[in-house]
Order: sequence, then C-alpha cells, then structure tokens
Amino acid sequence: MIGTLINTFWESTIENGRSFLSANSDEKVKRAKLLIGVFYLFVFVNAVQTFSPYQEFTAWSVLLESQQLFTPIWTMRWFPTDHWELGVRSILLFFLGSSLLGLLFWQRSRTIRVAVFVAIFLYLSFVASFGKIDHFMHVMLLSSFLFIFLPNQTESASSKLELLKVFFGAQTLVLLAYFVSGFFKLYGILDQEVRGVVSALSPDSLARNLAKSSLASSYDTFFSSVILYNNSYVFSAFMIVGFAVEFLAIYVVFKPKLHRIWGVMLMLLHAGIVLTVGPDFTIQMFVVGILLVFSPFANLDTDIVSDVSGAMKSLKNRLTKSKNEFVLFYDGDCLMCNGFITFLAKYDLPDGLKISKIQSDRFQQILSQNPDLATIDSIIVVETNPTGDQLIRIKSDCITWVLTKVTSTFVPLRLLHLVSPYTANTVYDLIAKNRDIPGAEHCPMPPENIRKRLVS
Amino acid sequence: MHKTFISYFIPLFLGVYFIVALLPVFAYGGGEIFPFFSFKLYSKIPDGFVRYDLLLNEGEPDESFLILGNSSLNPLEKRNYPYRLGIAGSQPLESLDAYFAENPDLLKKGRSVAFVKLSGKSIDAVRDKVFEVETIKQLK
Repeated sequence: MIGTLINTFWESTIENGRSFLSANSDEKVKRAKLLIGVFYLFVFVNAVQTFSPYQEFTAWSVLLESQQLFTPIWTMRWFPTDHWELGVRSILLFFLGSSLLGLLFWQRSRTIRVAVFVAIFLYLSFVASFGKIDHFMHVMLLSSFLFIFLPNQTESASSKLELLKVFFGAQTLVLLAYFVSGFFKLYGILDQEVRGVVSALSPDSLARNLAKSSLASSYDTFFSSVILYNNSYVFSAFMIVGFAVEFLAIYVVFKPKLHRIWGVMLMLLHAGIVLTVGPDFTIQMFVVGILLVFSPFANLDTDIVSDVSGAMKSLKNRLTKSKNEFVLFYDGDCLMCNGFITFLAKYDLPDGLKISKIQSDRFQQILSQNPDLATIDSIIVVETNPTGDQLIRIKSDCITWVLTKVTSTFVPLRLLHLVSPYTANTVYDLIAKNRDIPGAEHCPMPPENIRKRLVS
Repeated sequence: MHKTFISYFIPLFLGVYFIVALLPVFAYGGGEIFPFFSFKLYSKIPDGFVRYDLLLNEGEPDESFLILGNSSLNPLEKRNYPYRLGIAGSQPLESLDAYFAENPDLLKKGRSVAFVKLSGKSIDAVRDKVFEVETIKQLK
C-alpha cells in the first residue's frame, strides 16, 4: 500500500510521457541550485535583521527584557531561564553564524544544512514562546528541513535527479499546506451556512475578519476604513477567490506549467491579506516566490505571460470541440483493459477516437520518444492536434477523460482527477495492481464497434 | 527512479506532515502543534468577540485598558498579555487573586486595576468603539 502511494507520487510527475523532473535536467538543476542559493541568502538576511535596532517584532533588545513574558512551547522547555541573557544571545548568534555558513557552504556540507535548520527551528521556537504562534517563517523552516537531504555533489545523473526531487518536495509541501488551509475555509462556509450563521458569503465577512485582527493587534490596515464602513459582496467575492486559490493549489503540484501562475496568485493573495486583514506573510511570500514563481519545472524558455496564454489556450481547447486525433492504447494481454474496452463499446464513441494496442508498432514508436511510458502498462490516450503536437494522457487522467467522453455519469470521477490527480492516480494504481481477474484466462475479442476503430 | 532514500522519504515526510497538521482539527482542542500550520486559521467568520483585559486607572478621569488600544505595548507584550489574561478568564473567580499573585507583572501599571471581560460585535468595537465591559474582579 505505502509502496503504491510512493510510486504513484513519482509517476504523477510524468507529463506527456516523461517525468518533468528528469526531462532537460541539467538546465533544471542549474536553476534549482541558483534558487536554493538565494534561499540560503534570504535566511542569512533574516538572521542579520534580528540584530537590527529598527526591527520591531523580534528586536534583540525586546527579547532580552521579556523574560517574564516567556511561555515556552514544547520545543523550548529546555531553555535556561536562569541564564536568560546568555540564552537569548546564543540563539541569535547561532542563527547568524549558521545562516552565514549556510550561505557559503550549503552545497558542500549536509552538517551545515542541518545547522541552518536547527538554527531557524530554535529561533522560531523561541519567538513563538511568548503566548502566540505565528506562521510567517514556517515555510522557510520546513524548506530548510527538506534541503538537508540535498546531495552534496550533482555530477551524476542520479544525484541531479535527487536534487530536483528534494526541490519538488519543498514545492509540494507548500502547495499541500495551502490546499488544506483552503479546504477548511471552504468547509467553514458550508458549515456556517448549514448552521444558519454568518459565513464568508456575507457582505460584511471581510470586515469581521479585519475587525478580529485589528482587535488583537491594535493595527489598522491600508484598507481598514474602506472595508469597515462599506459592506459589499465584492469583498466577500475577493475572499472566496482567495480561498479557491488556496484550495486549488493541490491541482498545481503535478502541473509545472502552472507553477509560476500559482506562485504569483499566492503572492497576490498574501499582498491582499496585508492590505486588508493584516497578517504579515512577506517572508513566506519570498519563499513561495523562490519555489514557485521561478520554478525550475516551468518552461524556462518562456515567461509567465506565455504560461497564462498557454493555460488559456488549453482551457479553450477543452471547452471547444477540436479536430484532434485521439488514439487509445490498451494492453491487449490485460483482462481488465480488455474489459474496459468492452465497457466502452456499450456507448457511442466520440468521432476521431481510434484504438490500438500497446503492443502495436505505433505505440512502440511513441515509447521510443517517451521512455518513461514504459512503466505505464494499461491504458494511454495520445491526442494529436492538426499541427502535430501531442498530448499524452495516462492513468486517472486517461481513464476519466475517456469515460467523460462517452457518458456524463463519470464527471465526478473526472472532477476528482482534476482537483487531486494524486488521489485519483492512487485509486487507479490500487485497482491496476489488483487487476487479475480470477478464473479468466483469455482476453475476449473486441466488440464490432471497437474493431472498426482499431489501428495498428 | 524510485529506489533511492529520497524517493521514499519525500512522499512519506509529506504524508506525515499532512497527518500531524490535521491532528489538531480532531484532537488537542484545536491547539497548534508547532511548527505545523494551523489549517483552521480564518476558516470561520467570527460573530462577536469575547476578550479579557485589565481596566487601568491612574487617578485621572479617563480609564484605559492594558491591551485594547494600547499602542505602547511592545510586540511580545501584545502577544503575551491576551494569552495570559485568557487563561485568567478561564479560572474560577476565587482563584483569580492567586493567579495574579503569580503574574505580578500584569499589575504593574495603574493605581487601580480591574479584571474585565469585553464583549460585543468586532466591527462595532473597532469602528465605533462600542462594546460591553463587565468587571469580573477589582484587583487593585
């Protein structure tokens, strides 16, 4: 079960027949290393900032005089309160020293990357030990933990792939956190509506959130007066769009073409929060920028504008009937695949859909261009547009796409795939792994309407 | 592609992160397990507020609060005072003297100090300064 989940996770990175982690990896490794270097630079800058006399939140002088406010969280129970000043100065100096070493030697030494993680962890634990936990450095902390597992050298192909996997892990972690946060916000709407109390759909919902923050912090935000004095559905619409951006973050994980777009959307979300409700996530914005806006898995030859136009074009293609050719390849030796084809035969199949076996010459040609497809041994759809561009659908993408082409009954399955391809692929893999049909030995002859569409 | 330590570790770590982060939703009273995100942050729209504060009087006609509207607090005091006064608010009335005796720094300001409960609509409180003040105990 765990093995299936792990395999499914990495196989979900296969896009158009090839894992986007391994395709053109030299260029991606170069970009990822640059970004990780910038990350360690940013950690160092943050460490230096803690010594600034102008730093308001965690000024060292305020920390030194706040012993009576110290309410240690579980990670700080060891703190030597009898030697308060020594303890505070040690944590700050360890943060500074480790982050400087991290900036200089992160590529060479895992021990130094461990030290950077421990330093951020101690510092963040310490400043969270005064009655309230903030989240402004959580992404930085968790990314620094994953970066411990970077390889020290990236000369071999396997170490390059490891570096990219770690970077992708950090991206996934960020997007996963946003998704769950968005999920609970959308669930909150449902829950509050069912209970008949004010929800995010109310025109004063943003004002209520703002007032709650303002009471806690005594700060005004840039748009405080506008929001508090004007109830409007426009504000609640903005809030719900923000929830949706968070919720749909999970969809982006395995869609590298959307990494940059979603990175910008998440940064705009935080900018909007600072202007309206107040919580400051500028450090998190920077890490989101490093991980997503400059994602090494996006098309490095184009810019974000091209990503947007590509996404719009793809959406348009999905919404309009295109004259593309579709070939559904299935494993002719697989009983379940044959059963699926027989099942499809009960419906009117879409125009332009041809069917072939993965044992055919046509598929072997595709396989030679997309070697990662060798691990997919059941059903694959290859879509070719009039200009010759190919889109390869595998696993849950393929199955749910085909099913919704023949009947609308399976639209919920397609939605599951669209919202969380990983979940849908896991279900697919669990079924595919147990596809042996007891008692069945021979694959049946395809029905007549399927045979008419067979191509070699 | 799937055989290295990293190939196993990354998905497992993400799974563990996901599960630990979800735990407070079902257990621990919703409290956060550091350093995992509080996924329920801002998930519900607040309807009214209840806060605990200290009403300070220096012998002048105007009274002020230790927390509400006090711009002289440093950022750590802004976090810590609501936390400790929230704990005080959950104490039985007869335990309050002992609680504040253990937290003398809370009473260092003001000639007279009352422990109060503030409640009302958040928007009215911020916009129009309209809210209810209920004195729980005169402390000084």
